[in-house]
This record gives sequence, C-alpha cells and structure tokens, in this order.
Amino acid sequence: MCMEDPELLAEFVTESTEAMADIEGQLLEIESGGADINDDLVNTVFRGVHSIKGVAGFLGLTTINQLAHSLEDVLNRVRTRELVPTSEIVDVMLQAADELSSLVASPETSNDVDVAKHVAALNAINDSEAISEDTPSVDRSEKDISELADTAVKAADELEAVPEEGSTAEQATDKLDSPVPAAAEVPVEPKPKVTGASGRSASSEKSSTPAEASIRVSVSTLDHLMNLAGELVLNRNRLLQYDGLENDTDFSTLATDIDHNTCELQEAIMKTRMQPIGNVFTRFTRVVRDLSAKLDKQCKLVVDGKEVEVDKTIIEAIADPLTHLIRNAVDHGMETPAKRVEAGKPAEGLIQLRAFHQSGTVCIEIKDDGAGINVDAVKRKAVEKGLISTDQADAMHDRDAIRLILMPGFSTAEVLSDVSGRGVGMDVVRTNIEKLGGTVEIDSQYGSGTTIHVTLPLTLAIIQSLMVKCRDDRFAIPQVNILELVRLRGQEVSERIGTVNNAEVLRLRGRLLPLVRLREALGIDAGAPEAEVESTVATEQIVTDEAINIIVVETGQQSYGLIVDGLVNSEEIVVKPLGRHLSSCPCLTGATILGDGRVALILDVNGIAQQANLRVGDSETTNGDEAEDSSARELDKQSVLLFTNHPSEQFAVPMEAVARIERVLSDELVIVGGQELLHYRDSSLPLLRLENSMDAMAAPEDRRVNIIVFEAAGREFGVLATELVDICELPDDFEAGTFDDTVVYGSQVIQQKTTRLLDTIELARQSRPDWFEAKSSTTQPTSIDTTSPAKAGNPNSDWEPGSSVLLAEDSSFFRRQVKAFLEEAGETVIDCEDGREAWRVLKETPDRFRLVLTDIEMPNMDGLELTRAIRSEDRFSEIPIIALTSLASQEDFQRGYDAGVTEYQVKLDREKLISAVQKFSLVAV
Amino acid sequence: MNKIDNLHGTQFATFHVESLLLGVSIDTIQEINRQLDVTQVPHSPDSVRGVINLRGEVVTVVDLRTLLGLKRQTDTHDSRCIVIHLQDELIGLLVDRIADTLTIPADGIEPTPANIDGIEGRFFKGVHTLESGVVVLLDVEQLLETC
Repeated sequence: MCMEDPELLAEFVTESTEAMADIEGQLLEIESGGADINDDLVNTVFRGVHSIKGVAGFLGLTTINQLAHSLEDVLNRVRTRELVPTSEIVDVMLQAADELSSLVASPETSNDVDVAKHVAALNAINDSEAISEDTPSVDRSEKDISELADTAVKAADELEAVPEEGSTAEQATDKLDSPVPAAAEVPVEPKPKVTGASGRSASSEKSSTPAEASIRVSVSTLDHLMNLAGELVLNRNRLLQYDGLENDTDFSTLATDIDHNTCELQEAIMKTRMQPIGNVFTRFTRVVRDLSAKLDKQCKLVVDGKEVEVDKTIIEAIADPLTHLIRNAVDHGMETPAKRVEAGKPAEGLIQLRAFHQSGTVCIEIKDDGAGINVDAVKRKAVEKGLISTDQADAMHDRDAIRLILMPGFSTAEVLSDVSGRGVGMDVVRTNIEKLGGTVEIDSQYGSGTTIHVTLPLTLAIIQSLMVKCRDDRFAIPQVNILELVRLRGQEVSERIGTVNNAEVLRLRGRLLPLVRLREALGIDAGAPEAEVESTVATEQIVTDEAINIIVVETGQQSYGLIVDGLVNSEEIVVKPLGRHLSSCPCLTGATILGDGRVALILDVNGIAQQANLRVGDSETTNGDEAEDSSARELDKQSVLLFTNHPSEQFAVPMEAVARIERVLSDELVIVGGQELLHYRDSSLPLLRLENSMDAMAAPEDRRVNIIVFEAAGREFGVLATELVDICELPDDFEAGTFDDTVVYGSQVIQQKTTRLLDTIELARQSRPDWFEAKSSTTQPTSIDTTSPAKAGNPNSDWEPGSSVLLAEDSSFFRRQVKAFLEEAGETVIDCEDGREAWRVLKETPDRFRLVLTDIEMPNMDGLELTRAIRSEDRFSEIPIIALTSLASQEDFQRGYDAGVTEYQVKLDREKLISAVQKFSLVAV
Repeated sequence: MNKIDNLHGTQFATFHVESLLLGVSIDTIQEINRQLDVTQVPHSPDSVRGVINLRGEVVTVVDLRTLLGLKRQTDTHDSRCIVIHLQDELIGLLVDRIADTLTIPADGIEPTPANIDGIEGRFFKGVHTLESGVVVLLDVEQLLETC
C-alpha cells in the first residue's frame, strides 16, 4: 500500500467520505424511483463511487478499489437501464455502500478487511441476466429466467400498444410489476423503450434544479468570525456613546449605519452555523426500512420539514435521541401487519417525522399510527419496578402515567431486544434532550398511536440568561434552569426562611425548598473557606432586614433556591468555553462577554447543587435524619394517610381515624339540601370538602374522586381527596400552631411537602355542629374547659368521684386525639403532659379518677415510673392503669405488667380503647 | 547581534519575575498587553488569576509568580500580561516587568541546574548567560501542565 503520503491519504478520506455521505439516501431514492430512473441521481452516485475506485487504485488500496469497482459495475448497469433497481438489488448496494463507507474512513487498515461477500453479491447481480427475489447471489435456473423474460416481453409488448401517456404508462408498469413480480427484475430488451419513454421525461424535470454553489469552511473559522463580530458589537457600543456627545449629523448617520451593519453581520455569521435538520432526518428512512424488515413489520416513514435550520451543535446532539425514538416507534409502537389488519388499519404503518419552527424554538414530532401506549401496562410496570406505589398508580392520570416511561429505570419492553433495548431507556433520551435545553412530551391514544413532541432551542451558542450579581461580579444563569424568582422583604425573610437539619430552607407554597447562598457555593465570601461553607450555612442565620432575591432553579433531579446579591437583567449571551485550567471548576459551564467587554461566568446549577452538598431528595433524607436524631427521645410513631385536595397542598390524617376509602365517579355525588352526599349501600354518606371547612385551596374538577370515610359522633362522613399519596409512619413531631386553624393539629414536612395533619373530629364539628349538639344533649354535660393541660392542675370543683379518666401523654397530638374520642364516647378526661403532672393531679384529687391512661415514653416521669408510683400507695392499688403504646415488644409488655399496668392498648385504636375504658368503668362502678 | 545570529538562533522575549530574568520563545507569544483587570473565577486553581476578554475570546490568565511557587504580589505599573499560544488555546502569563528581546543561538543554551533560586528545574528548558547575569528559558508547556 502506498502510505508515504499521509496528506494525500487524508485528502482521499475527506473526499471519499463526502462522496459517501449521501449515498444511502441516494440509493434509497433510486430504489423508490424503481424503473423510472433519474439519470442525474444515478450519475452522481456512479461518479462518486468511480472516483473512489480510481484514487483507491492509485493509492494501492486494493480492497476499496475492488469493492468500489463491483459497486460501480452495478450502478453502471442501472444507469444504462440494463438493471431495474429493485429493493433486493438496492439492499445489496446499500450493504456494499456501508462497507465502503467504513473502509474509506480508515484506509490504513482497509486492505485487511474481507469484502468477498459484498463483491460476490454485487458480481452476482452483474453476471446474472436476472436476479431472483430473495437471494440475489444465487442464479435462477436458465429456464426460469427465460420464462420470466418471456412474460416480461409479453407484458412489455402490451405496453407498447398503450398510447404513450404518462399515467397510463405508469399504470401499465404497475401491471407489469404486480402480476409477475419477478418480471420487473428481468433486464429485458423491450423494457428500456417503455421506461425510457415515461421515465426519462419525468426524471429530467426532477433534476432541473441547479446545485447550489457552496464551499467548505471549518467550524473554527466560523467561531473566529463570531468572535470578531462580537468584538465589533462592543466597539460599536463605544462608538454609539460618542454619538450623543458630538453634534454632528454625519457622524450620527455613520454610527447608525455601523450599528445596522454590525447587527446584520452578526446574524449572518450566526446563520452560517445553521444546517438543515434534514441532515439527520435522511438517515431515518434507512433505519425504518431496515428495522421493519428485521421485525417483519411494514412501516413507512414520511419526513416533513427537512429544510428547517438548526444550529450545527444541536443537529449533532439530537441525532442519537431521535434515532432512539424512531426505533422505538417501529419496535414498540408499530404492530405486526396481521394485527394491524385485524384492528382495521392498513397493513403498512405510517411514521411521520416532522420539524417546524415555533416561537423561537424548533419542534420535532414523531407520530406513529401504531398500538399506542397501554396506560395500565405502564402503571403495572412502574409498580413492579417500585417506581410508584399501587395507590399512586391508581390515582394517576393517564397523561402522568404515560410520562412514567421517561423515568429512570423504566423500560416497557419485556425483554431487552437488540432493537430498542440497548441498555438505554427513554429516560436517557429525555436527559439528553433536556441537556440541550429542550423538552419531551408524549401523547398517546391506546390503539391508535403515539406522538412524541420534542422541543429544542435554535442554537446552543446563544442562550437566554439571567444576569445576577454576587459581590461585584456578574454571573449568568441559563434561563432554561430558572423556574421562578422570589423576592423576600423584611419580615418575610424570617417567616419564609427556616432551618431544617442545619440547612436553610425556603417555604414556598407548602413546599420546603433547600436554599444555597451563591456566595458560599462559589466560596467568595470573605473569611468563609470552602470547607466551612456547610457549617456557615448552618450557623449564619439571616439577620438582615434587606430584601433578598432567591432564584428558584431546577436541575434534572431537583429544584432549589439560589440566594444572590442582586438581579441585573435578562439578556441573550454568547456562550464561550473556558480554558483547560478552568474546565474542572465545579460551578461553571462557560463564560460570556458582556456589553462592556468584561467576562461574566455562566453558572452550572447542577454543579452548585453538588458543591453545596444538596443531594437528590435532600428534604426527604433530612426527614430521615431527623427521625434518627429524635430517636433518642423515643418519639412515638404515627401511621398517617397522605392525600391532596388541591395538588399542591398535602394533608395527613391518622390511619386509625380512617374507617375506609371509597373511589367513586364524581357524578355519583349529589347535593341534597345544601349537603353533598354519596349514596352508598342504601344509605347516604355526608361529604365534606376541605376548602369549605378550612383554609385550603379548592380541589380541581376530576372525573373520579377518592372519599376518605371517617367516623365522628357515631356517624360516618366522607372527606373528598383528589389524590391519595401514600401511607407512612411518621415521628410524632408535628409542629403545632403553624397553621392557625382548629382543624389542624400541626404540620410537618413529609416527602418535601409541608403537610397539615387534620383533626377529623374537629373537621366534622365545624361542618356539622348539629351532630355534636345532638350527641352532647344525650350525654352528661362535660366540662369543656379541659382542653388546656395547664388547667388540669386546677380541676373544676364540680366533679363527681370516680367520674373522670386521667390521661398522661406527652405528645400533644396523641393527647388531643385520645381525649377527643374519649370525650366523644362520653368520658370526662383530664389530660396531663407527663407522668409527673399526672401523679400530682392524681394525688390532689385521688377520688376523682376511676382510670388512668398513660403513655410509656414521657419526659420527667415516664409511664412505668408513674405506674410504680401509683401502685406504691395502697389507696391506688385497685385503680386500673391502661398503658398506651404504639409499638412494643413482648419484653416491654412484661416490664409494664411487672410495674403494675393493668392492660395495654394501642394508641388511637379508638374502638378497642373506648371499650377497654368502658369495661373498666363498669368494673369500677 | 548580526544576521548570522538571527538565522541560527531563536528569539526570546525576556521578562522579570521577582529577581529572575526569564525568557519565552517569541514564536509562542501572540501579544503582550496591560490587560490586568481580570474576572476572578471561583474554585479555580491558586495560580489562576482569572479570565479576560481578548477580542471576543475568553482567555485564562495565570499568575507566573504563584506558578513558580513565589509570593503573589499586587500588580504594578510595570505588570504585563504575556499571551501565549498553547495547543490551540491562548493563555495569559502575568509577569512583573518586560525586558529585552534576545536572539540566542542554539549553542548558547546551557542545561538547567536542578533548581534555580529554589524553583524546580523541570520548568526550565535551559539557561543563557549574559554579561549581567543569566536568562532562564521557560518550558511553558511543562509549566502550564502543572497548574
């Protein structure tokens, strides 16, 4: 091989690659033309292959030479109309062209590649007068050929009889093709006459468009031009400043002209980076063709909008995700022809690929008329994979469910096929598109098809961004990362910013959002070395009264608030790379040059999140940590049902309070006499809507609603819930009093959302006071003034001996719950915050109580100590002591019994507890 | 300097950093300017001063003092930024003061001692002796590799 001239070789590679670049599309076009041969097209391909053959021979690249030679021969026969390019022939040519492309890409090793297979297949086409349908390399018997030739001649003769009108001639050609399929492939003499007559005129029209003159320019030259134009813009800006000073009209005109020219120049240079998106689209015809053949499906790809221009970098980056989507459409979307016919669709599936401009972005649509997405299957899969819970799946809208396929760890294909399942899922597609600042949306109608909408920015070189200030420096934050801007003033600062687990958080519409101070993340706060950033976040509380600006940003996985020193403006910036010494800076993605000529750095919100040690689902882990921290205090756990009314507001109710949950169609709900009811099992269930009973946002209208059924005052009632989120165990650590609402026990951040724990009984009381009036009239009037534990020490004097129950419980939540439902059952309850207080109250009024209910874990004096104290005095030896527990082991029980506990009851197991209390009351009375 | 020297020697731009007289081959230098107003880059290596806008290109500016392990100093009236080409990238070197351009014949370059004034020899290509002292020729690639 002649290797002494690497430059020559390099030139060969460039030239050949260029010649081979379009060959695939061209061959496919030749195929679709069939007998109607486009001379110019075939000639172009022929010339390309021919010159590769020539140069390869000269360079001693024998393998390339050989393959190109064989391919050229076939093309030549197509050109001379000795061969009709059927899909079988084009198949062989395509494979050969693929091989040739890869050979010319690395000519050094090309001679070691065995191309005998391709050469044989091509030569078989050349040598044989006729080519069999499925095995091009195997000759049919001569008899076959002559028979076929005869039929073809006959058919052609028939054709000649037909007047030479284009359409009829085509029809006739169809006729020729269809009844005798093989005839079309037979290169018979009469045929050229026919095809020549109809085909030539048509193809010469097609090819009349002149080739646009173009030259190749390296990207670095374009970048350089871009830079110069940018510099010119800056100089123009300086020039324009003088315009105002000089009172010279000539100068003014000149300045304005330069202004215009500069703008146009910049736009023109920007345009040089744009390429038609057709450059990526062309390859998909082949992808669909090959893939459907492999899967025994019939698919056609229709491409629209090839001419839409997009920045080169985007074109390069979008190719892989689009390929994946197209493959998916064929592999998963499209049914087999048999199934399609069964479903009443044409056997051949249609995939439409469309690109168009829309408000400064490029939209790409991939639409198939295939099977569509089976929402139930998607949900089932997601549940199996543990991505969502069964309840979540049930409550999920179809549209949201479809989006599940974009989640990491999801793949609908049962088995990883080599077609779509190559270890990458739709989540990778989504991530890649989002990296480019684009979005993916899926629309699907089960049974009739799927449409995927991809939206992309026009260019990556220029991005819309927000300029912010940090100290004296300006930084750019890409607009795509920004969700919203929050400005807090004065008092709001302390109200809305809190600390969770030593990290600052922002309360934003019921969510707690982690906060990062840009100064600290960038380590540019004086006296705050990087290593201490975390701790300074924790210790440095906001004491300033000044307004602070928070930019809520979103990365792929999370959102957080970035505290900046100030906002400057929003502008389009040209992205410049940072040098290699700075490429590893964690918080930056690049730089840009501002109007005043200074450099501003572009922030990487993802990197900042990492720098500030925000982890994905940080708030959740915070919860976990908190639970651990507080485990020292042995906080009681409470099992709650989480649900939403308005999607942005989360509520919780104790599981013990829930009688059951119904899921009904909303048109089953009726309003009778101003009360919303659900007819249910021959009776009707009164319904409450949270927005009517408390300060809550209204639920959106939905076809299906969940009804959580509670019991209060001996009646059942339902609360409407839009979505049931989860059931979880929570530490009893509800922050009481955040919400000034009697129906709210307290709040806690659960799964990153501020969640209000509801007092269902109070809820019922607020909505239907009549139920409770009726109830209280039948029971003994009880002292209502016992809600405050502080007053428990001064019990009212009008008590009767043995009339009351003493409750010792440190958790205000449990205290109120237990007290509430005992009172509802007609008991008088005196509640105390801990064992010590209970012991004091009991000693002060020993005759008042007939029963003691006590929690075990309490500060000051725990339940066991209280029990021992009570049992230590003879006068209390008979009083029943019920120990309340949430979870306890057998050993714990034993310890309790040893101390003198009469019975254990599970907290909030209302029925049992009430019956236990009543049982002992009977005994006592 | 005569013509023969020009033909058979390499031109070096020389400059001062602290007490050292250093030289860099003039071929690698794009320009020397006074653009000292840099934009600082958070979390950048110590030796990086920041970035500047050099006619539309963002150029990293490196403090040669820090790079050589000397004490960083505030810029003076004499401070200059030497912009050099380094593998497709432009990098600015901040120096104390610019000195003459010298043409040094190949045989005028002597091997570097293990260290010069406490600075590691691997940063240097060699030394050239003048009447007034020595010029230490910098190995820019090696030097910028380390920061």
